[in-house]
Amino acid sequence: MGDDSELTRRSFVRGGAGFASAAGAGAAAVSQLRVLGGRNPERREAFSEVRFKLNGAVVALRAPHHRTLLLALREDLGLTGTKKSCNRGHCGACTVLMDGQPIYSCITLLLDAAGHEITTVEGLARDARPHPVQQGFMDRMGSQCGHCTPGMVLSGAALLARNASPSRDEIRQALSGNLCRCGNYPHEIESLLAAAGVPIPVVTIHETQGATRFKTISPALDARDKACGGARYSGDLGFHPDDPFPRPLIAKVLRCPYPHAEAGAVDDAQARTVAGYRGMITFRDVPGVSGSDRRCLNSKARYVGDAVAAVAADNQYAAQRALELLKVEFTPLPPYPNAEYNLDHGIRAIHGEPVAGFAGPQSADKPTVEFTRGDVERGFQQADKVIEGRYVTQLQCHMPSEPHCCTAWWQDTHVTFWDTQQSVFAARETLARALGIPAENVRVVCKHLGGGFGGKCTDTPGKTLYQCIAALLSRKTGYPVRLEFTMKEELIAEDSRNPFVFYLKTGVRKDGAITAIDCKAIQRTGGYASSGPAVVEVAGEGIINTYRAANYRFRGFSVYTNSPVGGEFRGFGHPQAVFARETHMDEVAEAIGMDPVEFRLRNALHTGETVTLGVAPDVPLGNVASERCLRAGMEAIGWSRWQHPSRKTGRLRTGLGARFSQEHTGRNASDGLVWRDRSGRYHAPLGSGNIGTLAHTGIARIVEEALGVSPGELDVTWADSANCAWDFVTDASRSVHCHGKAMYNAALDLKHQLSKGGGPRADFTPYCDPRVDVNPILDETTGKITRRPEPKLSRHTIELARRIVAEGGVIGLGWYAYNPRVQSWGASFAEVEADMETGQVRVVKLVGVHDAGRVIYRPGAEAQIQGGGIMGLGFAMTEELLLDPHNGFPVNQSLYEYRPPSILDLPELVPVLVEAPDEAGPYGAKGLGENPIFDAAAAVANAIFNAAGVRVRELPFTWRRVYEALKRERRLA
Amino acid sequence: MSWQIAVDEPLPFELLLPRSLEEALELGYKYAGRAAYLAGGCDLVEQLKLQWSRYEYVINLKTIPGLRGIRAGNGFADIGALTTLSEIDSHPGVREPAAALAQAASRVATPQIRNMGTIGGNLLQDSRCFYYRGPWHCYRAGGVICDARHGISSEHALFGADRCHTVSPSDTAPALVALDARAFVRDASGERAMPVAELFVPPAENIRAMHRLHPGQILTRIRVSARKGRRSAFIKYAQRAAWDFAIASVAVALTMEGGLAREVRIVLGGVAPIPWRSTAAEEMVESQAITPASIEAAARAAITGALPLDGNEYKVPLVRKLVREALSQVA
Repeated sequence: MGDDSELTRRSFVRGGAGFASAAGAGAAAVSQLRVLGGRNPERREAFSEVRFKLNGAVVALRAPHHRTLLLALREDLGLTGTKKSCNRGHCGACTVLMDGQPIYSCITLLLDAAGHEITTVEGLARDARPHPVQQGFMDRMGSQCGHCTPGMVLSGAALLARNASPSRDEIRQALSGNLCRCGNYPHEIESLLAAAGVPIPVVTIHETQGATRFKTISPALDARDKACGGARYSGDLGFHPDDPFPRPLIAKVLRCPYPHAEAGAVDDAQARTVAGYRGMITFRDVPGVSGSDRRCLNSKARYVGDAVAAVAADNQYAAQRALELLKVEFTPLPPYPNAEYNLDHGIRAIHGEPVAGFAGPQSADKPTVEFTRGDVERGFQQADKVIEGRYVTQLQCHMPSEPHCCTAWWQDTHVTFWDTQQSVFAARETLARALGIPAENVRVVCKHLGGGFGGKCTDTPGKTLYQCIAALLSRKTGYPVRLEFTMKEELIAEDSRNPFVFYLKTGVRKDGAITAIDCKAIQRTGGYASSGPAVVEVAGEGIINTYRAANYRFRGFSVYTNSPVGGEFRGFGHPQAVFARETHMDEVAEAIGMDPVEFRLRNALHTGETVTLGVAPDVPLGNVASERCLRAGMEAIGWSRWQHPSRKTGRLRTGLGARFSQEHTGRNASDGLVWRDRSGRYHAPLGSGNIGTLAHTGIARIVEEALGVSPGELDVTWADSANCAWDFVTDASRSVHCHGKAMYNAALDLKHQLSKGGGPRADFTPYCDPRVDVNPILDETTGKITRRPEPKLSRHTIELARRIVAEGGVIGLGWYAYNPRVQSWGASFAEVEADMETGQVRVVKLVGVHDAGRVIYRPGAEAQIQGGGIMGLGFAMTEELLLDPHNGFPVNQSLYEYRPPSILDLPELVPVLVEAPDEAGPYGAKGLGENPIFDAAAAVANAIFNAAGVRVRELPFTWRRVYEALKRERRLA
Repeated sequence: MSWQIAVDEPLPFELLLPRSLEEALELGYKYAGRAAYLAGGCDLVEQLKLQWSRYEYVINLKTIPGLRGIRAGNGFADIGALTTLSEIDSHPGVREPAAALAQAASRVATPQIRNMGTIGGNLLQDSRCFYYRGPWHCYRAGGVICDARHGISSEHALFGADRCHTVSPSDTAPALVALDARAFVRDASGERAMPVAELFVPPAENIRAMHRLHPGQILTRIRVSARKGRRSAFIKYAQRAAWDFAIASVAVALTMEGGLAREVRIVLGGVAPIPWRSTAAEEMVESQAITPASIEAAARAAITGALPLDGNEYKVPLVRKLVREALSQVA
């Protein structure tokens, strides 16, 4: 998408060549596929016995020579505390100690452990007491999702063994081979400092009255399990005697090697000769799903990595072997990887029409989303200056520590999914629909999730629905079947963050008043729509809201391309839009000679002013904290140091940049259910997913506070569609605000029921406050908005409530639909150092100021700001899945080439929490999960301009990009 | 290679455990083309798992006594080829006579990779070009095009390209070349020593290989000779401070005699298919005092002859800055 139009044209003028090169690579691949069986006859596995010391005891194993230490530990010995993530030595989740030294067990052969001493996270505790590092991780919230934690803990333990009082720098060095995608690095460093006995300062909260009740901090609900290796993630199940299913079959997916191709019949005749082969499904076995342009297996492949067929076998080796022996003929088609080209030329080759709309493909002249107010042309006439700019964002991949992994077990009429899933209830509905069975026959469970970031939210049939592959293979074979993604599949085949091109035009008067904003946005949605159209809508909201403008127009096009599919990713269109708008607004302020923060304060909306949202056209804003956020950030960064770039000299120049935005904090409805059992214990079965934000800990505190009970009296469970209160989804920064409010209402209801004597109950009307809790709901499958829905529990929650009542429990029921007036506010400030000779940019400091409404669980709140800031720094500085400009092939197909931030790449991170409570939230709380990811990109872009006097309007700001900007503007030293 | 992106475990192979170098050489000769030598395994095991390499035999060098460890002797340090990078980084016998090597070893990838990875493997690693390692049929993979030259060339070579524009990915290689280290190679006919610089092969000579060792040859050790008054330094630029290979790096070594720099070596990494000795830059400092002027002259000389592609011109000022910084460090 970053290609300029000249390059794009060239690649298509040379379309033949680009196509030929694609065909060349693919042809080689296909011919290789055909000859494999002949050239590589079945190899006999060589076995040996290996003995080594493991966590203090000698073990002996007989294993094939090609087995890695990681698989042996996890699958042969059941030590699943050692995590499988990239499986290629690029992440550190599999770290174990060999003779006290951290190594990657995924690229260590089991036989190489012979005679050595191996320590895993399970082997650190002494007399059932956690190791000091594990205790540090529990006390200092060293885990968000917790999937990288065991590796981190072992690297930390090795450091403390040789250095009892390490410095922060030594800790960072020691942890630098362990990637944390949640960006929890500051807390991981603090956990080790705590283990070494160093006191740690606490973050200040710009609080309002009423916060005191949430001051005490205790470890998160599952902190111990995460730190000590007991937390079982989806891929860890099946290797312990007490797991809900026996060792599953392993599925592997045949994926198209071309950006655009037609697959012929798939033949598994040779695959059948593989010992342990259990069967295959192809695109012919998969029914279409209404309302989706995509199936879990497709005959027409629309991007590199599109799924065509899948096999199941007894283990990963046999599954891979069978996969290689499948015969399939691909007929390559010309690839169309460029969105602007496809829109301009009305390319219909991918889905019949070029644009992805909410109701399916549509023509190029019809935007996916359009918002207008007033008359932009008149607004431009009223302006003293009109500023235009083009802003480009890249393809960012989620790359959670835990790859997508689903084990499905189809038994008679029912299917259970042990899935890496953010939203168990939405997944249950979607998967049932895709499989054509009733939702009652589907159960989705996910106790621990190794990072989601929107990439593991099966809330529409447009997602990859890889779980259906496992389910159909399970139905076919009768066994539980596991489909676990490789890191390449994670990078290429799963949904990612849609790249955008924004054309922005703003009229402004000399006094700083904005007269009109016009924006055309072109989104590359990839081979399928997925969440693309909704992402365009949210990007549109991001462009037109936040600032006061009497006239605006947004036209957004979601365009089909033969490239990886974009979709849901933390922030959902906002990160792209906020980068474009906030870089653009900096240029607008510059054009009229106004201080950029002054300009933002001048135009920021106030409480009661209206904004346009997809769910409702004119929403009056609740408690607005824009000025408080901006002023707190100015103070934290030292904005008084700001100087115009024209006054800067020298080769190394520093600069300050700001960005500001309004941010939604939820969507749709939630049920709440809190109950007391016959023995007097309280229970909160949370429907929201455990994606690492520690929202479960926050919601538990809300319930405890509302009930007036101590933590020891409340049992909290979560994310099992058979046994939890229904929650719409776990995304959109909504858990603490939406599900938390519904659970709060349920707790109040329970108190009321108990005060009445708590008799059995047949009426399942939930409690809510009609003034603030009943709000418009958008049905995303029909696009219909119910302006004033009836507060009513879902049938799942009622069924659960019935069961509990029958067992003699006393239940409290609550309900809440997201109140769109609850917007949170955020500002960020960056300080950078730019080298005018080379274009190297170093982010020195990043201040993230966020309105959390009410801080419920402080370590979690600050960790969201730090972690979102770090993921945002990846978006700003290094991360991009690069596509070959000629044919759209993904080029950097490994995690180390994709470059997510390591612990050594952090600037000084300053989280600032502001409280602007809104009555609609529980104790005033708003959402915080997504907003911090906006912090880096625009603030850094504006700081680069402030330092170097050049605008970088395209992400990420690699040394190359800044160098080229300096060269173009003739500002190289 | 396998084009299946769902593959990440190896095909079965037999792990052979030779007890002596002779046995390892014999096995290498016997299974030529079907076997690989295993040292740290950081790259080989990943290649086997991606089935990019499909060797039927893996010959484990770690079971051979004597290949690992550092022997600091009279005026030299002998570093066994299987010595890990973290052992090199932390060994006093290396830090003092060969600071550039210790610095280079400490900048490789991550602590875990340095605990596993060996000096031999780091020197002899294959090209990291993502086209070469991907589903492309490029020159180095036996085809007739450099896909990077026509595609994404931001990581590629400024110097020494010939059809193939890959870069030498090793951090320790420029350091050892700058230190005039010698490599000891064993084969059936015995052991011979050569300058480390001669291990590497440019694409003009052999486009399919990065080094000159053949099956049946094993790198056994590296010898760094101490020189009185020698100073050396290594600096690496990478977008991320962990994991990443160098966008550009430099190793500098020289000996100060009476205020003048002698035996100056300036070797670049990450910008040419081999560790790139910049003799033009060396000449600007050789037999000169190290002054801001001579440093600047060397920095400028280091970039003469650079032939950037569409996407890697930004490496040119990086090289200039690296040479300037490294010379300032040893001055």
